[in-house]
Order: sequence, then C-alpha cells, then structure tokens
Amino acid sequence: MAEYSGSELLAKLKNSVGQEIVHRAPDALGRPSFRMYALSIEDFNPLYTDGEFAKSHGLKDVMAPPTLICDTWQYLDSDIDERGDFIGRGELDFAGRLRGGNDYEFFQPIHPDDIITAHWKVKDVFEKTGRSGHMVFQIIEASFYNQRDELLARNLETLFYRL
Amino acid sequence: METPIRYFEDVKVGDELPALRKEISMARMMAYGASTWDFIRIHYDADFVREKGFKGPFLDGQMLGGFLAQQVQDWAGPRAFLRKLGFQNRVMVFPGDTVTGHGVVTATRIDGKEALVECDLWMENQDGDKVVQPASAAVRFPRRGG
Repeated sequence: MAEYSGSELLAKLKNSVGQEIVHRAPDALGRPSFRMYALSIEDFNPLYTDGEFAKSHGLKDVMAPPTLICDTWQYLDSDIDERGDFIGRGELDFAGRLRGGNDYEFFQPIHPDDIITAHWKVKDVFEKTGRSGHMVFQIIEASFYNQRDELLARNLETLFYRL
Repeated sequence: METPIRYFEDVKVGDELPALRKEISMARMMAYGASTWDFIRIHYDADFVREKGFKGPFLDGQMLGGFLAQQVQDWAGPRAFLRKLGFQNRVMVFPGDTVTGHGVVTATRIDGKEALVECDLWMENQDGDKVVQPASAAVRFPRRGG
C-alpha cells in the first residue's frame, strides 16, 4: 500500500517528529466555502449562510461550520500530484495513511474574512502491534490562526500506517 | 435547521441528543472532497483505491466529525459554541452505508466564565457496528439572565 518498504516508512515517519510546516492562505475563506461545506455534509443551519440570522444571535457575520477549518486544504497555495494530494507538504505526506481519530478544539467563531495561517507539527510517532497487525501511529497537531494572529482552532490528528 | 435557543440551565446530565441519521452517497462524498479541497483519489477513484487494497472508495473520516458537530450544534441551539470535539474512527464507511449518531449529556460545569456541557457521542452503521467510538464534545452554553 505504501510507496516505501516497511523499514523505510518507519524511518521516515520517525524522522518526521518535530517537523513543522507553516501554510499561509493567499486569500480569505469567503462565504461560498461555508455554504459548500454545509451542503456537503447536509447541514443547513442558517448560522453558516444567513448573515442576518447570525447577527441576531450575537455573531458579526455568518460563521464557518465548526469542523471546516480542521479538514479544509483551502489555505494551501499549491498544485496537486497524481494521487490528488497537495504538493509541498514535505515529509508530513506519505501514501498509505489512514485516520485513527481527531481531537478538535475551537476558540472562537470563524468568519468569511478570516485569512488562515496553519501551523502543522508532527508531535509523535510510535509503533503498536495489535489485532490488525503491526502499525505505526503519527500524531500531528495543526493550529489555525487568522490575520490578527488570533488562535481559531487546533486539531490533534492521529494517523496510522500498516507496516 | 433552525432550533430554539437552549440555555445552560435547561440542560441536565442524562439528557439525550436527538439521533442524526445520514445516508452516505458517492455524490455527497465527492461534494465533501470538493468543499475541503481534498482531491485524494482514495475517496472517489475505484480503480486506484482497489489497487491500494481496499474494496472501494471510502468516506473521509473527518466527514463523520462534521456530522457529529452538526448533531451537537442542532441540539445546543444557535447561541451555543462548540468548544471541543474528539472522535476515534473504528470502521470504514462506504457509499450505500447509513450512519446514525447518538449522544448523551455526561456533565455540566462552570469553568471560569464558560458554562460548559459535556457529551458522550457515538456513531453506528446500518449493521450496528460502531464506526465512531469513543467520541465526546464540550459545548459552551448561554446562561439565563447572562
């Protein structure tokens, strides 16, 4: 499944610990992104699309569906490769990864005029052998800021690879 | 879906969140990929993904997080703010599957200026397999008179 042999993959993953990449979005998120994400998960909450409704509940404008920021690649200003993966994610990017889970923390509503800077850091890599065989887990922390350096959200992501 | 304002004082431990049911289609998975700028072929290219050893394109696990957030926000109302959401993916989800999210309030507490409600969440597929478990959320609620 992976592009590397098991030992090569393990070495590359272990070498990734501490690696940090910063991505600065070339432009603001924009209202259509919120509407598109809401459509994709079939969530038609007017907080995400109706500015007057959002203002009536204390927001300055529509807010992003909460999880959008943690899963979008919109802030990456890059091309994609033949696998459909964004180029330029460095050693954070390996074929064959699967998702173990996520821990999101949200600090304030995200609005269309927010310009995102994302800080990605590999926090840990460890091996585990269980019923599914020998696996390597990679823990990545992504922190998202706006143009005023306000922390918007944090995503602790657990990925795993079968060796 | 518009829901009434729910206040911290209205919530008690043991309250159940209304279940949220989602039918998973390839069209919706494609829309999710487009909306998140995620063009990884394992989520839509059947030949590519079978070469990788899977039975077919499978759902991006974070889409389930989107469903859980929707479930919590719909229940909590428009003045509540989701502070934390954690989930572990257990079983892969494919087009044609149906997943249903469940939730129950486990704690209510004041933390500094925040009135927080904590919930346990989980999600099952049509076969009763837990596709997401454990999962949890912490939500900041408005206070009556506040």
